[in-house]
Amino acid sequence: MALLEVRALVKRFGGLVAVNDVDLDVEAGEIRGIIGPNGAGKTTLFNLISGALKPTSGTIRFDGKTVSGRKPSQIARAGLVRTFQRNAMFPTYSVLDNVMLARHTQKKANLFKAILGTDRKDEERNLLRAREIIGFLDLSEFADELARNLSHGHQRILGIANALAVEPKLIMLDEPVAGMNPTETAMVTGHLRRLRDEWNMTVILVEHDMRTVMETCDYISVLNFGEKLMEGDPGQVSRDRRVIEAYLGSEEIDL
Amino acid sequence: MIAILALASAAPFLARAYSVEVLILFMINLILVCSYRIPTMTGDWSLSHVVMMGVGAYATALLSKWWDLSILLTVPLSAVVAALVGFILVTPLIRTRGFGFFIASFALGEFVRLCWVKFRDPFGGPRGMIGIPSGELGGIDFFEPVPYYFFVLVFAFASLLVMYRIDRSRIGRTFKAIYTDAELAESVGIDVPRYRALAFATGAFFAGIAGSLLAHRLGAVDPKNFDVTTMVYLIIWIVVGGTSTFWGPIFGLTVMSVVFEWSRPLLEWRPLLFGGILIFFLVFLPGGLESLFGKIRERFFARKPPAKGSPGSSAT
Repeated sequence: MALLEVRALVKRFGGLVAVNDVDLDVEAGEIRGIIGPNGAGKTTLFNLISGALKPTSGTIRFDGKTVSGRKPSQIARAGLVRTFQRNAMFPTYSVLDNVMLARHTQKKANLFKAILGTDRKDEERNLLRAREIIGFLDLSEFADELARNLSHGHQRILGIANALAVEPKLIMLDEPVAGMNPTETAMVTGHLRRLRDEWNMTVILVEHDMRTVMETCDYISVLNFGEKLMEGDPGQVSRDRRVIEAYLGSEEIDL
Repeated sequence: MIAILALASAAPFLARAYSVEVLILFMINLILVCSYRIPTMTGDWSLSHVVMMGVGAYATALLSKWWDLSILLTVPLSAVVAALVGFILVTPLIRTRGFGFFIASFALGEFVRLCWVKFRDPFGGPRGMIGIPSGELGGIDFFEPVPYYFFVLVFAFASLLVMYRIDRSRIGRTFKAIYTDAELAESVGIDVPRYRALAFATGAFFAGIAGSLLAHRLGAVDPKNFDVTTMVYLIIWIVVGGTSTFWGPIFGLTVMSVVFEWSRPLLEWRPLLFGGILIFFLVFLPGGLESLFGKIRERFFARKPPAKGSPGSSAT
């Protein structure tokens, strides 16, 4: 059974069908790319899976449980965490505090424990793990820096660190390399591969940058006009006539 | 802190009886203004907070008149009642945010207040309830201001300590995270509506303590005490002080209480002065007095530049 199973997913906005009858199976431990020209429904699909939008019909099962129609926070706690296209972080907190904040769900916060200060042990364990996550993403040297002082690239990586803080099984990235230079892009894709190989993380990548998708993903699903056009490994996708046609006119395919 | 406590303990013996009454009110207001900061930590500015205080006051009036409970019981029980009413009120409010929350909280607060006005039984109608006992403990009558001063001091100290702990705890940081970026907070698994409700109910709990202490002191509750005029004073205190740290509201209340006492000769011109102060702070110092400390520190103790900073992105 796949880790993430999307079945006959439909989302209508008034008369517009943004996502039409999409099936998707993402296996544990793979890096899955979701691509498509502008307006193909990538972001809508993303928001449906993360719970920001409720599907019109269809089901989403994650890790054996139905998550469609749940709140984003519940889905995150189930182990499916998203990042944002914008540089989403807590800008006035240090990098370490950002990750600590995102770890607050690890143990249910208890008002009385918090007042008495008896949750210190959990906090120490959280701190260790937070440092580990920061180290994994090469952010250690900025641990005490305020998040807003980081460069664009590091802010995006901090977004990934905040997502990892929730201890997800699957991490879903919304255009993680948007606006990055090639060095930064290589840094991010390197992290994603290491996440898969060393932490056995499952990754879904919604991305515009073709090169990144082709180089990083094990398997790619192509959306067009809200429907799934095809699926395959990077080689199959880049040779597929329908994919090339879908991209022509809307965007140059750069391979 | 010990110095402040010592000073607070000595104060009633140094001051005249009138001043002791002022100090009692000051400490009740201290609990109130600090409790108001808790929901604002999540970004929820409520216009019904003094109504929550009123719920505590009315609960005290009913508890002590019906069952003749000891003041040691009426104060915490009233706080629990206020927290429960707060929780019920906030459940629909959670669906709103920002300005919508502000206005909807006013409407719900007025609904509660008008219940007191409309239902002569048991709330006494527009003239409120009188004859609330001032309470006594171990033979000490709290009608005397000095013993009651110490009673309030204990509650104020305990309440502020707990609220300080909340501010410092991970729950406090979670509240602030929701204020900073609710969408991101939700995405990392923080149940935003639940925490906003928790913040509102916790604020109502401590407002309930303040209301209960006030009811015992005044011996009466009047629905007019908890209308929007009182709410505006609460907002002035917190705007003058600022809300981003625990100390801001305390600072604002202290300064404005002094201004309040000094401006007594102004009589009916006083609201004008207070309105002017509110506008001044909103326009010229929106962070409140507490933000001055940061500005002074920046100006005179120029922060050393970030040691490493984040190197230009391409350098890595």
